[in-house]
Amino acid sequence: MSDVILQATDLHRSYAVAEAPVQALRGVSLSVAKGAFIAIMGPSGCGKSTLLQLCGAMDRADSGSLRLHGRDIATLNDTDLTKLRREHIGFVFQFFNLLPTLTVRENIAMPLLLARKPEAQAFAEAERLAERVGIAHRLNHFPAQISGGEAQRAALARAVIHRPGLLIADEPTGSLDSTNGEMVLTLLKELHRDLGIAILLATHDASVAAAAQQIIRMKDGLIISP
Amino acid sequence: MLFSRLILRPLLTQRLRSLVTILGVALGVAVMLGIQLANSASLRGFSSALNAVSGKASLEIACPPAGLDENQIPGLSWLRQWGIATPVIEAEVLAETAHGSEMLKVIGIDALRDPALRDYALLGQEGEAAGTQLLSVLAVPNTLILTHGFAARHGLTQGSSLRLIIGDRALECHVAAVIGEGEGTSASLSAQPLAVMDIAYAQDLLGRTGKIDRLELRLHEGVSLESAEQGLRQRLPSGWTVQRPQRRTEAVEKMLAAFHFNLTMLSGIALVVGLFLIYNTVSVSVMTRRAEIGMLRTLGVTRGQILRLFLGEAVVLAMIGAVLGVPLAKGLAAAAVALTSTTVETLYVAQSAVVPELTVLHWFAGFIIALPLALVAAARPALEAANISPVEAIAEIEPTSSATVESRGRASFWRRLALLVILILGSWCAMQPPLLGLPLWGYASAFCAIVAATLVVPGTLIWTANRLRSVLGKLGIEGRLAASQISASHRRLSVSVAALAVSLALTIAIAVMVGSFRETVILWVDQTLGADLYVRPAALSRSANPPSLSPATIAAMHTHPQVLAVEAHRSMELPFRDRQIRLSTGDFEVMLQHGRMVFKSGGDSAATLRAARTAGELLASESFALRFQVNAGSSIQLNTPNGPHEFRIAAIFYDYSNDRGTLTMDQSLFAKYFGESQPTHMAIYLKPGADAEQVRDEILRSLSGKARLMIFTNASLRAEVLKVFDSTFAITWALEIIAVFVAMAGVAATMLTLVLERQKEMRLLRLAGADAAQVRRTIVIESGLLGLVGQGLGIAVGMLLSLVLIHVINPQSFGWSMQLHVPWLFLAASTLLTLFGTMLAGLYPAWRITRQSLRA
Repeated sequence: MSDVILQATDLHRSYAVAEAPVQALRGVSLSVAKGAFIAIMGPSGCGKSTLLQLCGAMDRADSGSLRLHGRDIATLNDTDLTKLRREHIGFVFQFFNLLPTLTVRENIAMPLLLARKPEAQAFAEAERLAERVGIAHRLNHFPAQISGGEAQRAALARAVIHRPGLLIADEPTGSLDSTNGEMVLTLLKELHRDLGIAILLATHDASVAAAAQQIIRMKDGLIISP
Repeated sequence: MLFSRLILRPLLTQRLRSLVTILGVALGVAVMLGIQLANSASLRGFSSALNAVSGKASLEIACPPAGLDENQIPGLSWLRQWGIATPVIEAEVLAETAHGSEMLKVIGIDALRDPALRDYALLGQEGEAAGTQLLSVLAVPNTLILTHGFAARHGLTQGSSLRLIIGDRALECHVAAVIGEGEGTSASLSAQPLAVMDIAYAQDLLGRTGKIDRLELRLHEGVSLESAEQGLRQRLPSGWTVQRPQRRTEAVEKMLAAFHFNLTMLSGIALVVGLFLIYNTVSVSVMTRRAEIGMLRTLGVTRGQILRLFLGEAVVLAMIGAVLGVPLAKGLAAAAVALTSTTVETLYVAQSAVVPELTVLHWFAGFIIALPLALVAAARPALEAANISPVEAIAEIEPTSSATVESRGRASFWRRLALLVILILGSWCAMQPPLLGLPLWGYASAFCAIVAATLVVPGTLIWTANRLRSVLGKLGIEGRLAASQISASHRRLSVSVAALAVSLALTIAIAVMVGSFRETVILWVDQTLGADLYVRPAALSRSANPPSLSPATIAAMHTHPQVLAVEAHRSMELPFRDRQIRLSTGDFEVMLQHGRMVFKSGGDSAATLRAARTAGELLASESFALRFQVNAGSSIQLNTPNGPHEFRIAAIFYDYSNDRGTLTMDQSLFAKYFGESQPTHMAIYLKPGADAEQVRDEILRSLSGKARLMIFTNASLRAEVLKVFDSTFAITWALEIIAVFVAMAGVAATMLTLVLERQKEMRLLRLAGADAAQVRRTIVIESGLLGLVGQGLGIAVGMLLSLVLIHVINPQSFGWSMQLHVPWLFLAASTLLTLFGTMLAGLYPAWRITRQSLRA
């Protein structure tokens, strides 16, 4: 039991779109063990992103329970949720989502800087990770000055710099060409292997999902397999 | 359809930004129009009183400053061929009643002749009073006829009594009749604070027996004004003046022109800031809708249509602003009248200003002020929108591509070149003489400085953000983020920061100018106020020829055992080259021994005075010298009762008591050319060791019941001078505060827009672990940093502007020179306030953004 870092039970979530509510999740249960690599597949609108948002403590479910690192999300206030995200979760999105006004070095170091780690230490760690993901030569560049593949590698470095227990990746290769997509996927696998981070990854791409240890399929707000 | 969807809908969605912009325009219009209303109110007060009093008179014959000798009137019987002439004497006195005190204009008339010029519809009598009726009403000494307006305000009716304070004398008078509203000129007369007396009693009352101020002439039918004016000028003795009564309004208008012009210019600041807000709003509209614009262009919408859409946005904002601003102007005008009345009355004319009712013309003016300027303000962003290429907009090309960097480099070059040209032009303008008597070049120079400020804003923002990046990094990631955001968004931020910098620069410039002026006045007061006591009548009359101090008062001063010397002065108005100047006389002998005057040429002031006295020469104030372009050694011609006479100016002295220009002559010289005169105020020098306050109390006790005086000790007069000085600039500060307030609101609106546009980044920041407080801090630091940049530029440009104000605009407007004094404390306090204010302005956007959901 102590190996489970995320336990979701019977999650429901609906959104009001115009007058009619849309049921994004209709009773989803999921368990993520320490060091697991799970891919979630399914068509657009099946609820993948909603599930990732709940698992990443970005949103709250209408009903059901979600325990993250042993803590019930429903009982946490905004400050506690922020702290939880800052310490235990990393995020990678389809559109890189780097802050355009910060350099690559500052973008990667941001989680440590937000956690008030000394600047020198944060930047040293950022440089080390940049080296690892192959963008050390781009550290002083701004996001607009680097390629999409480099931006996603930077985003990946930022997502793991604080050694989170869980990495949420929403279509991380969705905006990349095949070469860059493959490179990012390889990096994800390496980071998973070397750092022991659990990964929850949403994708349309079966070849990407194949990298995971477990594949969950979703449809209409429900997990249909396994 | 497009306008409603693309422009109106976002305006409604972005409520705060729209509201701030509209508020900015409304305040701009209100302040500008309000000041115009207040200016016209002060002139209207004077001209309506003048028109009411002058009645049907077409021409006035006068001999300023001493007035006409009534013995000369029989020799003017030839005037009958032109019309009916009637003598008038006039003065301002203080009326005291159970309902309070009020300045009252007393006119002495010839009861038999006057009804030919003015209608007297007396209450309780049928029709207009004829000469004989009027004579019977006014036949008793110390009786007067009051106007209905004044009588009603003070609860007076026929038979009531009131106390008049004339100079330092108090006199009980009785109300013989009240002028009702009636018809014709009586209606306008009845509204004025006016009392009519028989001329003989009025002369006694005013201490000017045998003198009249003017002859008023109603021309016979068929006689043309021009021919009469010409005919009279040819026949009247030289030194006498013939003018239409309205000329007095024109003279007052000229007198107030610089004061009103400067107020108008100041009132324009709020409008300029409001226009910056329009520029900002339309710019943001364009920037946030580039993709939509591109899409519309691909669908076949023309450049012209896009241009009209965004100009239309400015028009909507300006129209709503004007609709709100015009009614607000009336309220502001009333406040401005209250704030300026002391200045106008102290320095220029007694007036009873009433803010006019709003008419269609005022509404029209409101729109005329707002609409064209709003279109000018929106022109650049609207053109930018029209030039957006469909491909660029839809692709959302980032502005950091090499092509853009190149174009930025070019823009930077042109900006630097423009800056250089503007600075050279500004310097050239600052060196030009006044145009049409106004410091128009000076304002052009100030405008150049403002344009220069706006040109350096983008560069300064980037420079500051880059330089402070590492320093701000010490505040944590928030500081680093704030600096980087400023650097990245400098184009959008520039407009708001420019608006803030301009309003702060003007505030700082005004502060430096007022501070310098105040310090100069303090120095001048220290150097010139050497007497122990200063005496003036309790009722401070602004008449051209004010009532003098009574012989009893003069005697009391001379006979007090502690009094060492008495320096008597008389001050009156004198027409000179189409303007009204002040002519003052004094006893140069006493001034030589005890007094102090500071001359521009420096040197021994006693020797200068002695030389002027011996040679029968004048002393001219600095404002006189600058206004009429004369120097020590120049000769000027003054009208005397015996004809024009050339006087030589011995020296120029510093004087900050009025801006109309003062000529001072020894009393013996005045007596020689203008006749004997009695003093209107006195400076008293006490024997060593005498207690000024004790002497003052003793003098007042000895005159108890006989004289109504104001006696200031040296210290209390200094305090009074500074009180008047500070009240003069109250309106200035009020206008400045409005402008800064609008600019701060602009920063808040910009920050809100920017953070809402950066929602994605803010969300990302939160996901990376930033808590709400960290996000708020980032925005507040950024906002404060913008304030600091605005303040830094404000100080730099403000100092430049203050030099223009001190060395160009002020001397050309008022003829006052002053020494630069930097108010360090004010600068420090305003920096802190700006920092605090802009950080406060960032709080709401920060709060808004941290309430957003983290969901994608």
